[in-house]
Amino acid sequence: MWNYERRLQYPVKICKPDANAAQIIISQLGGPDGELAASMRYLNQRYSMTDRKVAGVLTDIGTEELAHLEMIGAILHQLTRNLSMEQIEKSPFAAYFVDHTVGVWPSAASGMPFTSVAFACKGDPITDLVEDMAAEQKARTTYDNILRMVDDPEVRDPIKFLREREIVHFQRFGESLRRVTDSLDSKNFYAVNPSFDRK
Amino acid sequence: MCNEEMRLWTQLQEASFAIDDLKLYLDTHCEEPAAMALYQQYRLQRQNAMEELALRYSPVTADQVLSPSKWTWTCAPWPWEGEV
Repeated sequence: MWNYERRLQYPVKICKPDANAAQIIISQLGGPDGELAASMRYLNQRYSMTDRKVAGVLTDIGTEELAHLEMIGAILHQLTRNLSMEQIEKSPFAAYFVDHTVGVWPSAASGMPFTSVAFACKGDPITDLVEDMAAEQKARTTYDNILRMVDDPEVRDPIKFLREREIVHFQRFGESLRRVTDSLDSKNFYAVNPSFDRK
Repeated sequence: MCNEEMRLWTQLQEASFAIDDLKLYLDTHCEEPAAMALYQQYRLQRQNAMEELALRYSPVTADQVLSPSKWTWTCAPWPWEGEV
């Protein structure tokens, strides 16, 4: 189960409101490759992962992604709480504002609501870990794209931290995949799905 | 917030992050004495920071409220407000 600590994994302190930045950063909250999608992938894949060490990786990275979700929420809140109506009306953020004011609601920058369709849990250890490696790279690219468009150093700082963590997670999932394939028949990894086929 | 309290939150954040990162490594590398030694060092640092914060300033988790009469868990700013 989960416990809550009254802190963010990494500090978020943003003084200057910016509706345009909020409009694009929201993809890391409710977009297909964002933190919510990541944590839901990993935490749900745990149950069918028979290797206990890899289930540990999924639990621990999934939990860290919840902390990242919270950081993105804090970034969005601080970017939007002091916006003037004039700033809102001049930005694509106006479309989000009409439905949510400056509340935080998981959707992508395109306006598409968050959906489980964005991720997979196939119940096969190899498939799920390859999905996870792809997820981390997609998240990293999304952060790269955010950094192309955001100049405020107070916003760039936590975004750069989050981007670095995606790279580390990718590394750990690669090691986990290697661990799983090492435990399977080296002549044919796909002969058996250890999550379902019992000997 | 005074400097001393800020120092403790920073210590907590740094030790906790070190553990978060080590933890992922140790999950798939169970017998690494150097990593385990680092983990134990940060574990103590984190524990000390949490205890001192709860004792002198404010609870870090909801099970750290020490007052017998005042529920201090909801008294301090929340971390997304950008003050802590």
